[in-house]
Amino acid sequence: MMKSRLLLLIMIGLMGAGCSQQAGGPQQLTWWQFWTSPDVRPVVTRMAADFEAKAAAKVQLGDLTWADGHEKIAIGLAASGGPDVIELGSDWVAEFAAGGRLLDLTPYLGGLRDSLLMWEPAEFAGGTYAVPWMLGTRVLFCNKSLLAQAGYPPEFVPRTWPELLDAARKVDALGNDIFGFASNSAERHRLYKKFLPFFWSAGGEVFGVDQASTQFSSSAGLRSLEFYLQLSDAGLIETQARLEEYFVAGKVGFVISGEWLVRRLRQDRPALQWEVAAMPADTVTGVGVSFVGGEYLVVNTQSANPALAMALLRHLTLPENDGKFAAATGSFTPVNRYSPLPLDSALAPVAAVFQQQLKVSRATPVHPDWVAVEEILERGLEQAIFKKLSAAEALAMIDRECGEVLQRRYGR
Amino acid sequence: MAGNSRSFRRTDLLFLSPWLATLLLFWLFPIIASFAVSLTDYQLLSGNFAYVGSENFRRLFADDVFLRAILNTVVFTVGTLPVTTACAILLALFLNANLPARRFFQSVYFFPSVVSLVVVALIFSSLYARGGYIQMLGELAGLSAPEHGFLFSQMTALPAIMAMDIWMSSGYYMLLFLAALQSIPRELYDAAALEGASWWQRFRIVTLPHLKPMLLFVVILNTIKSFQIFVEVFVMTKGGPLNSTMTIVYFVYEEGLHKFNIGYGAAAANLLFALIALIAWLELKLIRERTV
Repeated sequence: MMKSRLLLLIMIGLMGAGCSQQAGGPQQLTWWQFWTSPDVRPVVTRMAADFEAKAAAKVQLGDLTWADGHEKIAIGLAASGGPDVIELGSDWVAEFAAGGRLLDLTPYLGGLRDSLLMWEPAEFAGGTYAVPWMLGTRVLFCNKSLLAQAGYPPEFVPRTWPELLDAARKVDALGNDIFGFASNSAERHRLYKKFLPFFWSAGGEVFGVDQASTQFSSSAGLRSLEFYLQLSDAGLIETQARLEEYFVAGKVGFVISGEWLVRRLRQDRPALQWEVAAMPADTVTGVGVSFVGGEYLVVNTQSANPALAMALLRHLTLPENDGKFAAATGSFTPVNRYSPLPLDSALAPVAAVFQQQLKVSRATPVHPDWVAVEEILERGLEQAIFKKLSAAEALAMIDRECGEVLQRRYGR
Repeated sequence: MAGNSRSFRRTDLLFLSPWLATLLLFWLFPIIASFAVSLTDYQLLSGNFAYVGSENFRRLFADDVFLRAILNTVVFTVGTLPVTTACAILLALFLNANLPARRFFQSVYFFPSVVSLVVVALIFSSLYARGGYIQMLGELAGLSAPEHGFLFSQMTALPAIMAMDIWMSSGYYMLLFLAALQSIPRELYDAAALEGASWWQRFRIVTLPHLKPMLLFVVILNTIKSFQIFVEVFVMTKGGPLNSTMTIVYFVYEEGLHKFNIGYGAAAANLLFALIALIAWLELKLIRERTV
């Protein structure tokens, strides 16, 4: 009996010693992020290690995947505690901020505002809840060999909607296993990113001024959806990953994609003749708008050390770190305007197209109900693409259903 | 004696306590909590909730997507269960015969069930794609493929997932049936042969009655598994096109973990629980009655 009491006392003593050691040790931060690929993860680990040395803190890295990261973050934030710093997709910031889970970083930002690009998705209800970490816009990838076979001169890339549609149709006619345009459909969380650039190019705005209704059944909505449907008819409907596979295999004339596809083409298919072009312009408005997505860094409201978390965010977005990170991810559009980005000569023209397109790119509207709107929008677009509804009917359905969701929030 | 009995019970409880704790914490508590949450409009991120009674359940029965999810799940179960079971029995019978390279075939048929479901789903997505091997084989046989591949057609997306599931599951159930077949006494077959019974008569009179307990187990297990289909849908179609592959568990996932409507998602999960329990009970009753 004495022995067991003695053992218990020793165990309690040891636990106490462990606690006191932890309390006196370096400050700790938990950081969840999405970069697990062997090209990028070492750079992320290096940046975290540099911060540990600089701030005499310990950073515990947690990995997320795009397949289930949103869910994991939601559960992490809803539970008491959760990570201190989290990487979020640009269109998630408003959603988590509206739930009261993100710290308003406004008092901590200082000079960051001047050096970093694209603050719009970080802002919600008068506060700034995130810091931009990575930007990525989409451009039009063109298969030059297929365009040549379709009778186009080597310098041709489509500049307008009619040129794109005409070229897609001519390429599509080249053979049974050749497709004009790579069209997304029936793939959630992707399809809206392909439709919105055409909608914006046509002069459309998602929300009305009061934010309580959507405006898809406008003339801009109808024109852009009818155009997207024509493009889909002249091509292949698949998931984004598979559409890119088809493009890399040389079977697709045009695909809208991001910087990651450049790296993949250079690695997997160096012989393929391809070129990037800015998003074609609507002939009515004369503008070709693209979608810009990004990665944002946020701080959990429950973080025990928000100042240290903010110091990590500052460290990660320093020009030297941002430049290395952009190079590792293959990005041509670093988030810090002062970041160095060494490029080989072959990539310089490609990078120029991305950098120019970034100036004419838009992120999804910042709205706490965006995820619900996105879901309704994609459901409606699917109905039109699979010819269950006409373009006008689908757009009317989208506006009606979005209106019901939005009016619940605004209490009308 | 009474003291011994009491001490015995306490020891029992002590040894059972890890299991009991697991049962209470990870089984009983989630079931009760899930039912309690289904009576609220609980939102995961805001943490706000109000008691709404049976409102979530009423909404579910008026929700076209949920009704479609029930229909798809039932079609999936009804479509895969008999085929998987029949394939598994046939494969087990084939492997139970004294054939050369029996072990090799056993491994080959069992292999799909040990491969990660995500990996299988990704491979099949390629096979089903436009220009994929399945389309090529179909064309060789003179069959036309859907315009945008099997997973992008409302007509073929669910059957394509069902076919993959049958291919993947048959080997596992085959092994169970093989174990049952090998426990049948050889003498019964010898006696039947002496009486001049044909192969079919031997199967009907000797094999099938001995397989029934395993058949019951496989049918119930497969039904529960089929009603819980999720990974295939998540990887291959995300419930599309036009909800043609939306299943109940995927619906629960979309509502609960994507839209954060935890109360509504929990109501759907509770209905799924009730549905599975009801069907398993019916199957148990039906097969037991037939066995008796």
